[in-house]
Amino acid sequence: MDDGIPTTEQLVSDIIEELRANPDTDQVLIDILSEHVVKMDPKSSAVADAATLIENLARQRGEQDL
Amino acid sequence: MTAPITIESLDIQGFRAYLDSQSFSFRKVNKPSSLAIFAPNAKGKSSLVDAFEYFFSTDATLERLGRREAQSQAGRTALAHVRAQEKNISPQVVFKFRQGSEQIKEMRGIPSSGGLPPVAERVLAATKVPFVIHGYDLRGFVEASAEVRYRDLAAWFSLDPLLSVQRNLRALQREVKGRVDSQSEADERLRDLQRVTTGEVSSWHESAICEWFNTSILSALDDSLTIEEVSETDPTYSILVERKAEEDKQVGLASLDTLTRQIGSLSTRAMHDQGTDDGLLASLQKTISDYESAVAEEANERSKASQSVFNDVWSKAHSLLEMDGHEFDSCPVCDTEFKSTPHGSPDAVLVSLTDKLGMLAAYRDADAKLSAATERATKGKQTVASALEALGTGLSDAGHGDCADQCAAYRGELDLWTLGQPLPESRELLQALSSVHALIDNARQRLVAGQGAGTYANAVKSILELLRIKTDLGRIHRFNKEQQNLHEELVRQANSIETAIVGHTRQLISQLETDVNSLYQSIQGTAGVENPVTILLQLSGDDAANQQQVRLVIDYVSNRQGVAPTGYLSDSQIHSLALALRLAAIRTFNTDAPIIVLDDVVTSYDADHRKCIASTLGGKFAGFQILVVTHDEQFFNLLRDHLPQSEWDFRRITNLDPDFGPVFADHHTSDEEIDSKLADGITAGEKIRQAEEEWLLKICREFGVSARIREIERPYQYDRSELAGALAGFLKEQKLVPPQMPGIASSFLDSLQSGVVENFVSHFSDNPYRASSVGDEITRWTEFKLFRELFVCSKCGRSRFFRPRQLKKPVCRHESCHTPFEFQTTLSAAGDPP
Repeated sequence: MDDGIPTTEQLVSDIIEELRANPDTDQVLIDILSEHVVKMDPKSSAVADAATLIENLARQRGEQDL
Repeated sequence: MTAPITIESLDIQGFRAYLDSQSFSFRKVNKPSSLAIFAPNAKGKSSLVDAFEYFFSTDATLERLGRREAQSQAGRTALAHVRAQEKNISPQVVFKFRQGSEQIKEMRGIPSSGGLPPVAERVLAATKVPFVIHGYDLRGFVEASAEVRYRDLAAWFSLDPLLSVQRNLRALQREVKGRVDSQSEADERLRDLQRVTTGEVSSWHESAICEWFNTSILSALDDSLTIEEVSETDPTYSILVERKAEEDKQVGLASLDTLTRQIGSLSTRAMHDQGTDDGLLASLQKTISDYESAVAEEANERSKASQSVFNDVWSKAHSLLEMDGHEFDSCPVCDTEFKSTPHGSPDAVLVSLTDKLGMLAAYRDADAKLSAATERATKGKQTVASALEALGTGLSDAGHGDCADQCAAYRGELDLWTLGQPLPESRELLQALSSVHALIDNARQRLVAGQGAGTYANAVKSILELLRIKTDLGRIHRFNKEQQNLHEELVRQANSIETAIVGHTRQLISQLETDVNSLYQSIQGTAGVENPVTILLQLSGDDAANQQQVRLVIDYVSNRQGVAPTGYLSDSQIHSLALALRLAAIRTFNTDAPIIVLDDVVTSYDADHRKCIASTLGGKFAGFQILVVTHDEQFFNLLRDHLPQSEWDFRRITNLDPDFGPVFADHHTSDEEIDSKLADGITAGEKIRQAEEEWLLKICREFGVSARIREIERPYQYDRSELAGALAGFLKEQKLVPPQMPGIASSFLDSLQSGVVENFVSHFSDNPYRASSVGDEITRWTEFKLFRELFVCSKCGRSRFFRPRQLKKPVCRHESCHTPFEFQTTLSAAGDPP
């Protein structure tokens, strides 16, 4: 295959790094996505786990808004 | 970079059409080579392809065998040759591979045990695209649905993890959106609001709620009071709390609440029978336990550090001995010679001192802990005593004198108690407190119930409930807002990720598309033609749900762009397109194991296209090892013309011998094989006929004999009588008369020509219905060998000939002889019967 085209694993890593490098990106959210969903071998509970973490994050931020 | 895996050889026995072991080399001049095999139908050529498929099958079978029942003797049973068991041949496929300098030889028997051979796993890991291409299912990729095509491409491109990412991202967005949209928690609070306001206010409007509170609650108590907001900072709120406290005093609630708090502070168990006791008494008990542990630890460390009196001496000696550059013969503190001590040297003394000082440090720690525990226990005792005194006073004032006495009694015991003794038993005190608490609680509930709606207690209760609802709704609102924000950010990040994945996929597909077009033009012979048909692989639109489809379309002509190939291309063009797709995918993705097996892929082509395919294989697949199996003789000949002999072998199967397997043109039945069978009394008629045919073919080829044009139904095969007839005609024309053989009445060549005996395992007789016998075969075999002996060079005795075009007679092939062929007049003794 063309050497210029990254492997699937490299692509996943590049996508995350590119998002992290964007100052507008919510870094905590991208951490959750990379930890659970945007990875080569996600767990079967990845979606539920990530959704719970996002909900907890919203709750935590809601408390901080006081 | 890992070296590619290549095939060295394939050996088959007892498998499908192959009974005896046959070997196929895939290496020439120390390099990987390819192999083309031609055979008519049903002569065993597909068994070779089957060997590949079987060796690499995770299910140890062939796809086309399906799941047939064992009772039908099909399915996996069909993998073994029907006579393998009878001939005691162990069915197996053996591959030898090479990767760099490593050679790996592995066998897969039938039935297979232990799953895929490890080397097969290695090859499969290196080949993303299935490398066995059957002509009969080649069109599948062209005619498949866009979803199936995407699935295949995803497997080739290793996109499965990306598919999983996309799928999970979509599911996560749905899940988070569902939670954002869910109002259940807020709805529950609003139901509470309706309950508190007796159904008059159903949503949080601060002014409406204040209006309701002022009208329905406050006006009945004091019409000068109003609240402006539901808040603890509203001035009216403080007034209401104060008036409630006064109200409580008036009805006696305050003193009851104080007693309840005091009992609870001593022992929560006295208030609630269940759960952990968190009161002061329990705390004191724990403090006492900690104290006892500290006492034990201190005693232990103290015994180890019994020589603590020497602490100062040891410390000084230790620091002096540790100093660099000083060597002491005797102790710098007490002047004792080290040699005379039990340790014998300054170093050993230093080690001993380090141990002793360590023990002293542990003792100091334990001692400090004990001091702290003693202090805590003493303080805890005082705290409990003070609490008992205050509670006793309150109980006495409230008329619970007995319980007050119990408190005083326990306090007396506590005063007498000292550390180190068991803590006085508190069970009776706790029972008394528990009974009193029940009485107080009942009295309190009766008072609260008697306060009614028009009380400040009720007003405070209402406003506290409203405050809780307001707080909850505020929290829920902030949570929803944050969740909404996170959902929007999730959608944004997911879109970025989707875009990157789709872009990557498009890039890969585009690369494949370029190669497909190149190969298609090469196969079609349209390379360089102006405006050729262009093949397009299109990832479906921007809709995420459709991105898992790949449309296969063509730009046919200028006014037929992006059309379905099946609507415009001929059958053979679709076949070419399918072949180009698979070959392009293999060429792109299987470079780590460059192997291709082509099983009858030229069924619908004319001569020009066959030539183009042969040329394509030669020109565009350098470095690949290819096995081509075909029943198309023209294609086979084209391959031989177009492909380099240094890299390819070309072999023909001439017939299928049920007692041996596919017989290749370059196969020779040995005399020893037949002699051995006959000596054992086993029939060898079939082998003898085969040997005769092989010899006839060889001598006809060397003599340059013209065989007659064969019947159209059998274009590929000469039989024995045809060859014998042609040879006889040639000899007659050249006036070459075979000498009469001893004991044989008629010419041997005549019997070959007559060709009346064609059945296997039959006898050699003019009468085809006569029973056969090994004796007949021995006679026949002896006669044949005598006849064959006639065809040797009369000068040098060699048996290889050739006939240059300009000569009528064949000549000896040996370069120093070249004697024209003549029959010998005498026969050697070599043909004596066995």
